[in-house]
Amino acid sequence: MKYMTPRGSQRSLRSAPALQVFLVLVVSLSFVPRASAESFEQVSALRALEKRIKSVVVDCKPAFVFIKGDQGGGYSSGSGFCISPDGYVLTNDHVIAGARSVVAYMTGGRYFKTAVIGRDPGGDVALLKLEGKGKFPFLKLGDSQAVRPGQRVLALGDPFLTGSENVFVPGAPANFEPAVSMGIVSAVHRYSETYNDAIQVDLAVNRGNSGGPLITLDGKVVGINGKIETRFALGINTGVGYAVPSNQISRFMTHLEAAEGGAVLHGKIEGLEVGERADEKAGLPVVGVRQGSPAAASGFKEGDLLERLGGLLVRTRSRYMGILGTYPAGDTVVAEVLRAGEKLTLKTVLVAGGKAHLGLIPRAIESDVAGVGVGSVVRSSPAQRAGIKEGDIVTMFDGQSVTSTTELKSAMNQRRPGDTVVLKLSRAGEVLELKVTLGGK
Amino acid sequence: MEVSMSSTGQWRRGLSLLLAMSFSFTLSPSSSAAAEPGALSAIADGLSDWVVAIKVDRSKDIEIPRSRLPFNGRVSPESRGYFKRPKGSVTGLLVDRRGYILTSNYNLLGTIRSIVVRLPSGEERKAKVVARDQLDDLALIKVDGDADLVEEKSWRDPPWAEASPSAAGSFVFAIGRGPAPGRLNLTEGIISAVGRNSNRAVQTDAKLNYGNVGGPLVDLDGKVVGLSGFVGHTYNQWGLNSGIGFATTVETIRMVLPQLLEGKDFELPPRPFLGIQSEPASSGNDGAPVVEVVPESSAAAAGVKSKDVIIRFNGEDVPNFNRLKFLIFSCKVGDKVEFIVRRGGKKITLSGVLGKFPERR
Repeated sequence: MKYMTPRGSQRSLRSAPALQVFLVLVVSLSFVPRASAESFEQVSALRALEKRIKSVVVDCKPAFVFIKGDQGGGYSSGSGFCISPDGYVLTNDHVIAGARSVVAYMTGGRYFKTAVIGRDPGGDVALLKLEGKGKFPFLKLGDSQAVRPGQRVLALGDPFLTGSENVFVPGAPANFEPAVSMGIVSAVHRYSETYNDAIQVDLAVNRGNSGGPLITLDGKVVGINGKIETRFALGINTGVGYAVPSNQISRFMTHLEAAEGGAVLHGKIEGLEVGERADEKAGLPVVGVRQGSPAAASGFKEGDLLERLGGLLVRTRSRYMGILGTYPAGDTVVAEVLRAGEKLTLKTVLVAGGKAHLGLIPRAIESDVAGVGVGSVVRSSPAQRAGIKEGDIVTMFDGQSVTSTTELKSAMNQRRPGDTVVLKLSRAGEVLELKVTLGGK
Repeated sequence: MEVSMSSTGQWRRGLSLLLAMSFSFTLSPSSSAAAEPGALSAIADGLSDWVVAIKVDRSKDIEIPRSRLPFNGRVSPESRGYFKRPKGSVTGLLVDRRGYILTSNYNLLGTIRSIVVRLPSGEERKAKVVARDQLDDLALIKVDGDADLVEEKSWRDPPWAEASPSAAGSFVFAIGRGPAPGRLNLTEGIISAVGRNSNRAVQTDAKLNYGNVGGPLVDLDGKVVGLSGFVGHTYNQWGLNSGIGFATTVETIRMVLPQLLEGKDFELPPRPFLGIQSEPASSGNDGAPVVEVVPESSAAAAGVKSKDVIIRFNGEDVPNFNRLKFLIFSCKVGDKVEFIVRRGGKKITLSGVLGKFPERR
């Protein structure tokens, strides 16, 4: 194309051809390597990749859901995906935490009410079920242990609610199309606060992506995108995102399914104390084993060098915590230790950590009945699920009479998360007995 | 592309420019203007004739309402600078040989003192805003003067794609032009979603920042599928890239460009109106139940009755009223539409012409 020169400056020097000759000379004299085979094939390689990405998106999109949690006066929003034909849905716990009800929208805007089946606040995972008939499209969980840095991955989600709201014209309806972003796995086994064993990705995930699937190019879910590193409180992607790995989720699945809307518990090796980091070649040192603890019963001894946990190499305490964080309480974990040059395999059952949690807030209630009055019940707490109501008076805690808040607290301190207790209540003059499975906090 | 220099001074600059270019060839042969076919640089080079840098000098930037700023605008004075339009050059696409350049309206907001366009040849020309389309974040500018910018016989239209991608997953490249002549900026991404802005825009994760916004979004064939825009739109006033970018589609550009070329702003089109009232969200999947038909509306003329349930609209499923609203919004006033209603046990196909959304009284 030939650009014209502005009027008034038409004295153009017809010297351009000479310059071009000069240019060609310079180029041919200088050392110009041939374009590499790689750059030759860039476009054709991307064409093949594009075909694959498009087919994965077409396959996975029907199983994606937009999640809206009614927080009373506002909504929490995020992403999720169906994992079974009968409508079980995975999302992040922080997307639905505190919600009175949760609705899931499919691509195109079809929507279903959902029931919260189980929550894993410690692992930031929640299992929901779509309340609808028919067969739902679903995604399969893949093996996150096989994920390698550099592997290309896709994320489906609703970043900044660009799919579930119209961000262009206020009041205009949204098109309910999830957004796909592409990138690579940057690292595996990242430990970041509650994310114990996260997959780090460089693809664009932002607010609203939470709960959405991280998908390999063979269409398997290897994680749930739930967290990003961001600076200056900007809250936008910097190229560092974390996903909860699918193998961790799989381990919690039966517990989530059986949780009846409650929370599942993470486990720890009770009574075992480990050092900060391993020496150059040895394992992570065991610096303390409490007498009579489950750790002692499993055969751990002070001075042991912990080499592997659950088959995975342990070099630091954060990695030790990270690996344990991927197991539910009650699971058996295999530890490989070095003791005086000898390799030993120890098995230990993980015990729920933290304090037992009931979820009722006491209040003095005028009554002839001696006990602890229930001022309010924490939403989706063990107490609420067991059917305890505001105004009830707790008279007995597992066969032991309780007449004050202090007595109830000390009775609770004797219990562990996951324990089942029987509460005797007085409700409007009637006596009730309710079974409560205690949660953890 | 032939370059004709216009004065001795420019000739000298041109010479030093060419010297500089040949030097850079020596150092990095891959930046050669004649890229090997099949290399990604060829995609950028293929657009080189049409992609221009635009420098906007403004006396005053627009005020963004505090309510739309992060933390309600309670940020440090330095941070407040981040909400301003970029001071450096931005990108535009030459769409007409007379010197009309399409760019993002975002680039041209505020009180403008002057606009200078730097052509691919390196030559700088003054320009003025011709028309705007706020809905699609487009603005058309024209270089000053009556003469053609590009010789008629050598003019070719930009390589517009026939259509923008119909589904997510296609590779796309955002192309920007930096202030230095001869340099194009290429960022890679995929189409994240289609159908945004009521089917007028696509979403992409290609990096879009101050500078390359307003430039073309091209596919693997080097065809222009859209024009990037909407940076700093609603959710992020800092204008930083988050991997959430938008581009107005080639279809939308085709629709609005003739009007912009006539110097007419593209106003928000009147909202189309079918004329039914529905129930909000009684069910998410059973169609849009008609509670009331607005008298003398398209729906009334088409024969819709209350208690009908609209289950399909223009060949697409209608699971609920929200979806029906989206499908209606994606049409224009005057469009002929066809829809299927369930009445009793029967399915009835009806058709009508969309009217205008009634003004509030």
